[in-house]
Amino acid sequence: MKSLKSVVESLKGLCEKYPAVVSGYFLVGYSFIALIRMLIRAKKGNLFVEDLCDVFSALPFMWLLALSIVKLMQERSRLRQIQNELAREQLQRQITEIQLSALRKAEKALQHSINNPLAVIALSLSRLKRAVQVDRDLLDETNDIECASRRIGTVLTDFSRTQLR
Amino acid sequence: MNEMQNMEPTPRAQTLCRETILIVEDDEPLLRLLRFFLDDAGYNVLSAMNGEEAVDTYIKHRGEIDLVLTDLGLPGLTGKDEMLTLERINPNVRIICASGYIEPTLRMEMLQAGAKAIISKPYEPQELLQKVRTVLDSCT
Repeated sequence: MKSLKSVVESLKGLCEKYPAVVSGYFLVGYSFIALIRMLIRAKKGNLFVEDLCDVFSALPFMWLLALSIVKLMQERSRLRQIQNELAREQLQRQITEIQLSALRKAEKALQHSINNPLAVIALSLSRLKRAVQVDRDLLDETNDIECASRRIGTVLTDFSRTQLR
Repeated sequence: MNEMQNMEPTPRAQTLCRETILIVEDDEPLLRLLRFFLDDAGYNVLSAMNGEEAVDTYIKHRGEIDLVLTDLGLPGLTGKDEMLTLERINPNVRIICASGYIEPTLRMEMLQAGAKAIISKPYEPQELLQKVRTVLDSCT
């Protein structure tokens, strides 16, 4: 039972993969049977021209049928291909969405973790600046620290704006 | 929009102010600096490190507190819950919410829920003072 099922499955696979070849076998099979029938009649000695027409009468229809099967199989394969592509695209979209969502979460946590210390730096610097106002060098250094901490904040904000939205 | 934007420094910000501000912040160094900073600006400062403590302090000093400056990402009772609790105690409470990261939807929610202003960390000291002053002045 299992082997029959596997044979049917492999035949289906073959039809989908090579519809033209299968249809060709179909036609050759029919022609072969018709030829045998013709030979049997010829052996019996009662083969006439109209019998020849009779024996091969279904051949055009068989050819049309085989052509239809080829078309049908090709269409089915095309549809399956489109379906697979759509499924793959959907999966890719889902993966991207999951990755983006994880990145957004990380970015949120990062902003929380970084912006508090940056606020501490900003407030500390404003006090420090007042204390070191007389020392030009120290004042320059506090300004440098201020610029650097602002840059950290800007980098983080720019990243979340451009990469994750 | 309740949020105050493009605020100009008011003359009162430069002088001593005697209003009382309750700071709610779980980051200890930041809380300490905010205390110093607002104290230097002439405000009376009360502080709390979480939402529950903030509510207790607010109840204890209800008549004195003019403004609450609260962080949104607090442990336990969140900044939002704390704000709603304070609003139940005093519907006219003036609250400024601060956060290291606030999504636009939450920002709108907070403003609709009654926050007078939202300030994003890292805030500039002058920006913070201006916002505090503007909220205090706008509601008197």
